[in-house]
Amino acid sequence: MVMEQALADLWYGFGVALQPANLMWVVIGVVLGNLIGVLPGMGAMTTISMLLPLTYVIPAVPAILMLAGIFYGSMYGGAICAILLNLPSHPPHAVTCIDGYPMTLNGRGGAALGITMMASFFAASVGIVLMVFVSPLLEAVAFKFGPTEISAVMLLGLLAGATMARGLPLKGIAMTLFGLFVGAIGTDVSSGVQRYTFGLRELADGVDLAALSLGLFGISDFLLTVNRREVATTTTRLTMRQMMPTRNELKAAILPMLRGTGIGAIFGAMPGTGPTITTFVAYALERKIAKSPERFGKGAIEGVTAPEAAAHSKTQIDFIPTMSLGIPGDPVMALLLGALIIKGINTGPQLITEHPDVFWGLVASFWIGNLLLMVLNVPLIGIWVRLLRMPYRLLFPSALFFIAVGVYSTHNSVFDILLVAAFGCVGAIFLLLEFPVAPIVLGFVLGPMLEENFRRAMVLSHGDLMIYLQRPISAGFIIACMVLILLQLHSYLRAPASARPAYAPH
Amino acid sequence: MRKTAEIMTDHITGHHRSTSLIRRLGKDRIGALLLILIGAGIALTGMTYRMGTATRMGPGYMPFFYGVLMVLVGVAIAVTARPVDEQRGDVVPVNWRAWLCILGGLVAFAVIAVYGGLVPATFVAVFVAAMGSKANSIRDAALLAAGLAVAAVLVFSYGLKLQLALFAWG
Repeated sequence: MVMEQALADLWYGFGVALQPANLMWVVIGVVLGNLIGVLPGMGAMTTISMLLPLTYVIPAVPAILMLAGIFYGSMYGGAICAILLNLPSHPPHAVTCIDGYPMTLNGRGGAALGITMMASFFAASVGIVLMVFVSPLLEAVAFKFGPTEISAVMLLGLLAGATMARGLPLKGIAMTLFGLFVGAIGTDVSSGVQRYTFGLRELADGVDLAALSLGLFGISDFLLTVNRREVATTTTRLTMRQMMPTRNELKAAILPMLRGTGIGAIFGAMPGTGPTITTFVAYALERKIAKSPERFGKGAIEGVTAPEAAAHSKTQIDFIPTMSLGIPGDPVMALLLGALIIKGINTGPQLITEHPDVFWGLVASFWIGNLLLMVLNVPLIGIWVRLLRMPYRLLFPSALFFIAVGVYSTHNSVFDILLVAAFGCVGAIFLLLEFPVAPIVLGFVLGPMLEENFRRAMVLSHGDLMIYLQRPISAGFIIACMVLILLQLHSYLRAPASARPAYAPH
Repeated sequence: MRKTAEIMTDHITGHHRSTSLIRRLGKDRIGALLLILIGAGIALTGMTYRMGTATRMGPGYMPFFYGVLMVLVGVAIAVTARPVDEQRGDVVPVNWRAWLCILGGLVAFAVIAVYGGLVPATFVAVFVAAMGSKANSIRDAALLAAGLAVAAVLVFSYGLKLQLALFAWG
């Protein structure tokens, strides 16, 4: 019964995703995402925020399909950059570099890319299947969600995002709070009072999501990278034929692909665990069970396959809480959620019922988009490799120009460009002090919803916080929050000062 | 692994040159101080809006608590700060040239777009930003700026119909 319904819904989703106009935006998204993602130093966050303004002008359904396309396009582009250049633009790809780059040095870079593509497609497919069957179950639970439950689950999402990210948990919490504050800037919905606008008319509608994330992820990265890091270039040439792995390589890659997918699925179910840690675990497992672990780091194909599969299945499964509960698992999901909110779509438990076209269209478009990536990347690989040779000294001023024009075009206002500069500066200072900036976006996107639901919950309970423990579902979330905090305290008190988690640089 | 890690840490570690005050305090405490200041600012400004009660929250209620919590977290970070010599890497000397040129390029675009139009704004912004990298010569920066100015006209003005005059006077 559930199965039949899910298949019918999926069929409907393909109908939505295959409409010519929607399909066109998926194609554009995938190609642009891949194109920008492959450029050295352009991570998924930067790519999505740069292209976010493009989606402001199109309707909600194609907009979200396109953004998702941009996302996995940029993930794939990032893998190319990681394998051929040894440069992880998107943090999860740091692991891919470990064995991917040695494979390039051994002349098997093409095969590494080919196997990455297969692993990504396989893992994404498994993730999509899980998404199809799990989301409706969550949706059934979500019907019981009132403002109390929604604000409790958001608290859990924020806390998980803040403490499980890299770096010291307290610093993550501080950055989440900063994000909540930035989200509060603008006109207060229930009273009409302008908060923290400092008399600036341009801030009355709040801070623009694209301006915030471009500053935090684009400009701040330029500020810290220019003159600091000599970005490598490559002389590799690749043809289509070289992308085909040998029979032995394929054989060696199948089991790691399955294991990686499984690890991604497990981590995907845990909110707040970033994709980076997922890939590290997948890599560590492969090395642990390998017959000859000494090959790792010298171009073992398992070391490329498992982390890539893990990253892609986790990404896919991350969409489940994002879409069915409205809590994004990582900053990329927060950006996508923010884009939906800009489109006037109520995210949260009611999303699947109220906007089946968005949800099922998105699910179906994942398959179409991933298939497109496979088809496109084989003939286009030569072009991507040429793009990799773009020197950073020319890349960053060009990117800066695209950022300025893109942000300007969203509201035809130069104020947003100044906002990008300001947040770029703030983000760079935080990064220099080893504060993670990703939780800021999480806080920013969830802040207004958290405030609205918390206010409503307090009206219902006449200001009594105990309501969070009296209602069973919210009590569950609050207990989960407590467990998270206790776990952090526990590991802090147990570890000697020197072994406390050091900040893993951006 | 070594190579990847190197690339990743390069820009964080940088050179070992920093002022003594920053070095003595360490990144954790400086960050904590910054948080306490920002949090206090948020909370105090929040108090100027109507606070309301828990049942009927005013616009200042939630932001006030965000600020207070930020101060508390800041204090907690200061208390638990790692010893300075254990903090990874030194405080990087600020890359003034890059900061000035990149932020300056953005501000230049914003100002010149209004008073001069898209073409001069693009040229100046790209040129200024490119000069932030020591690897760029004046000639390279000018060529790149000119190339992107042409792209701006063709792609954004004619192609995507950007609402911005190509040239404006005053």
